Amino acid sequence: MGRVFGAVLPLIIAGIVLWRGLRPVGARELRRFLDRFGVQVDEEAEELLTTRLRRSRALRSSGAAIGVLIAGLPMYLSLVAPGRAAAFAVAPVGMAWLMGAALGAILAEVLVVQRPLRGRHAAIEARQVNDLVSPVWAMAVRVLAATALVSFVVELRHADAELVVPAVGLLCAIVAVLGLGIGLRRVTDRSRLAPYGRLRIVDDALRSHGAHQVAGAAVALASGGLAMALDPLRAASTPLSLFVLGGHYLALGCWWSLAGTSTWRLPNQAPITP
Amino acid sequence: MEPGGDVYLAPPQPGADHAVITASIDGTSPVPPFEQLRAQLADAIRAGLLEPGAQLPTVRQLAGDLDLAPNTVARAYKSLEETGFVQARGRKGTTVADGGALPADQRSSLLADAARRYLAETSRLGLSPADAARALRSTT
Repeated sequence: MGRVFGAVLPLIIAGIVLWRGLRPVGARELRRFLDRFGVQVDEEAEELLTTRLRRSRALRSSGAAIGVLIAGLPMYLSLVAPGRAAAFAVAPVGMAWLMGAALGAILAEVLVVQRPLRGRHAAIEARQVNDLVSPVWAMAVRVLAATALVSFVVELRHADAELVVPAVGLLCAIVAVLGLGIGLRRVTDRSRLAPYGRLRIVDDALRSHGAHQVAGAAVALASGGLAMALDPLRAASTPLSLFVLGGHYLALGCWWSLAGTSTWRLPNQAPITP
Repeated sequence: MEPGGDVYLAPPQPGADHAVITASIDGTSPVPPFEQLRAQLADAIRAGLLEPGAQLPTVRQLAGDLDLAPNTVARAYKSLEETGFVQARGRKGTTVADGGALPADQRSSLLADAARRYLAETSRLGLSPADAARALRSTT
């Protein structure tokens, strides 16, 4: 009975995650976004905002749901092939939900296609990646990836090393670096909705939101990757062991802080005072 | 003012201390889009709205904002660089050049080329150099 429940639980969780992700954006969620960036919107901008926020949330949730289903592999196998379940009870499978959500968040911004809404008018202002999100986070992702690489190389030297988990971890860290670079560039270079006015403010808010989501997701992906890369070394010290076991929760906290609460970066993008 | 539309100054965005300089492309104009863009940027630089050292948007950014092909924007930037209005600095992007105009020797060379083409055209029309000069003076 316990095994059946264990096998059904990931399906239930994935279903809830997907349901919450695919819902329309409600008034409270929209108000939270508007208050966070100090934006006022009319009907046209509100529809645009809700569509974009829902799409972004849907992709993140879809990635997370797929990850939850993958994380449930050991439990499904314990029902149909108990002898093989233990082989899948490894860190990459266990962290699949976080990896899926992170990839979904990055894809949500990479796949946005945005066209100007006010005809062919452009502000003659350069947009830089550092305008949207602090370069500290990009450096942090690179440091995490470099540490994962070093850890993997250290493990390579051991003849009896188990390399699959560290290799997957290194791959995740590399994907995080690439995803951050590509994602932030896509967000920065995306066409403006309008060169000035309220629609420009909405555009800046969406851009800032997207950049912080990408940065947070990349930090989470890189941290999870590093935790996997350090997995063979976790017996070496208690702090290392703690990081391997719980580092991705710390990464999740960073992601939430970056994507859920961060607002403007540049002073000249200060919110409108009602 | 060169043909190709006016550069427009929009009010500052809230919290900002500078007006927003905008460029527009008129799809119904007989002037090609790259020339419209080039002319507007050149006018903005001459008028001091874009100061020396100011960073211009990347080709990709401006092409997306104006719904133009990247090659069109690249062509406008290239033309501005050849006439000394901007400097392309590779990965650092394109910035407004000091002075906003050609170095004196390049200016003289381009002026001489323009004068030769003008004289060739007026000669084809059967006009003497004196007539050509008189026609020039009457336009200023």
